[in-house]
Amino acid sequence: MGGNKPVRETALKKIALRWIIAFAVMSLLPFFVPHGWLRVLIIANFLAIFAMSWDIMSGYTGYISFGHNFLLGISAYASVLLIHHFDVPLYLSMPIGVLIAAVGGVGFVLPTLRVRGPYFTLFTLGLFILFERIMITLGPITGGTRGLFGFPTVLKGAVPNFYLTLVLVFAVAFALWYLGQTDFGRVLNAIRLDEDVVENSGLDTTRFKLLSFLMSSIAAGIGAVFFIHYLGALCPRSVFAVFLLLNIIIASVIGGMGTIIGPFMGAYIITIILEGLRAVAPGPWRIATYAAIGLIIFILRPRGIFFEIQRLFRRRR
Amino acid sequence: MIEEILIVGLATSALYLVIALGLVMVYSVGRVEDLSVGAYLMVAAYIYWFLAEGGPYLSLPKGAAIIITILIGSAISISVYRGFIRRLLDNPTAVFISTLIFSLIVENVLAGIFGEAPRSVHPLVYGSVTIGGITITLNIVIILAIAWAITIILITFISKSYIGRAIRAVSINPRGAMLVGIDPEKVRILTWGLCGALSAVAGISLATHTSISTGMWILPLILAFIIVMIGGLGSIGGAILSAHIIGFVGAFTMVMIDERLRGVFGLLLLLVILIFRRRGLFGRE
Repeated sequence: MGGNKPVRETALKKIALRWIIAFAVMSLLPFFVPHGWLRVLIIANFLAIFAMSWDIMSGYTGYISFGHNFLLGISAYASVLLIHHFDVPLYLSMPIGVLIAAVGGVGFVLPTLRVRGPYFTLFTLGLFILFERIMITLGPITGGTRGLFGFPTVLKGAVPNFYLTLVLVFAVAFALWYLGQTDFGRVLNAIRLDEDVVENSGLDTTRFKLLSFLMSSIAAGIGAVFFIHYLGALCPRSVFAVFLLLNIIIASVIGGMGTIIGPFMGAYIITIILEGLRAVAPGPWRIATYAAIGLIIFILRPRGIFFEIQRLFRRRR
Repeated sequence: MIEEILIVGLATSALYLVIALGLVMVYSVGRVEDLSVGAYLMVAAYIYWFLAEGGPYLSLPKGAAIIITILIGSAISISVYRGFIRRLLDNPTAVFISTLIFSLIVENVLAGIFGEAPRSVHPLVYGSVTIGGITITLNIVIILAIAWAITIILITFISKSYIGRAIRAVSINPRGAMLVGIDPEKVRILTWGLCGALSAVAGISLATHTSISTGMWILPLILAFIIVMIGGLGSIGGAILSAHIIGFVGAFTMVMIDERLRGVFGLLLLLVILIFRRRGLFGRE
């Protein structure tokens, strides 16, 4: 399942079974886990969506984006502002938010697709910071640094929300993972390895990059609108925090970039680490310890935990 | 107004230029971007404050505090390089990500030790001077002078001295440099040390100019990065020009429009320049 091997017909049943088992096991969690932890797992699910949507773009093509918050931000703000100023119902504002992420994301990134390597990364970081500043400066419309609150949530209560996010995260995970297994995913992988070779072999890399960014934007948009309508409050810090960006990246890299399932696992791992440290290390020490653990895992196992698990299983066989 | 923009612009440009020069040199010899320069800068600012003003036992003379801080700054950057950047040199993406995570660690360790509240630092020198009708603090003048002195010394060092020529040789072709007896690894260690020292100077200047806080690494890092990118990776001349573009645009925004929009126009400028010249103004295609 490394993303570079085709799914054979015979293996298809086995893989489908694995997905179903994983989903079934996770859906039993509310019966064993206290409600406090359920809320933690809900956040983990959202983080997983964000990380996987980052992965289909940055993990696959190697174009490292530091601007994922920009996508999260525009869709969340679009949905909330529509509700707040125009009384648009929730079932309309959320799809519009996703649409804005797709259109805005691709529109803004269109000029950057020529830009490579660190230039691309800085460009996306620039978009993110720029948009944050604009949202803060437009105080009368966006609520400034205090933000907006009191808008409707999709569901209430920990258990319904857990199932909602579980369905969401699995839908996104399966869709993106499947995408990664197709020829499309293989081209994206090839772009990461050597873009010039892909271009010389007659493929329009810009189109592929654009498509992968579109997929990333849509997935990020879906995650962001559900996230913001789970929280019920929107302020610049909830979508534009550098810490959120770092969490997305750390989840992806320790899970394994370019695997979709890796970032999914990574999101759960870092959430558990962060929660587990709450009792041991207070305040900033918790985040310092967590980041240090992430850094050490990344340096020692740059290909990620998912890759190591796969290797472990292969050796057993 | 115009005089204020001029002075603030010149001083901030010079300050960010010092950090950007470190990044330019590190990129030249390592072909990677070290995003922990903001962290080096912040650590230096805190160490300087701790040494110079850290209570009754530790109030070293400012000169001694500065020298010790610069030494510690280079030590930290060299240990970061030897610690993990060296293992990842063939993977610029990994360096990007790991150095960013490292900055997050440093931020929170400092917050854990010194608390998250910002602290004010005394200026290097007290007093003010009046030039052309406006009054500016002597501290800004000193910072400006130090930054330019460092820039000129650095450029002379790189173009004239033996070690400087070795640095340039490694930046052009590490294998070729090896063939004529230069050890690229030694050159890289030295360059990272220099980068740490430059960041430390910038950190001390920034601390005495404003204050220190655990979030102070982000803005200088982004601005220094914008400067390096607009100038073109690895181009010192480009960095000097773009530092002044960014510095003056920032000063103009701060004085004439709105303090909160300080970074915005610099960023817009970056986005526009990158759209038209994807390797910056002086970058090699």
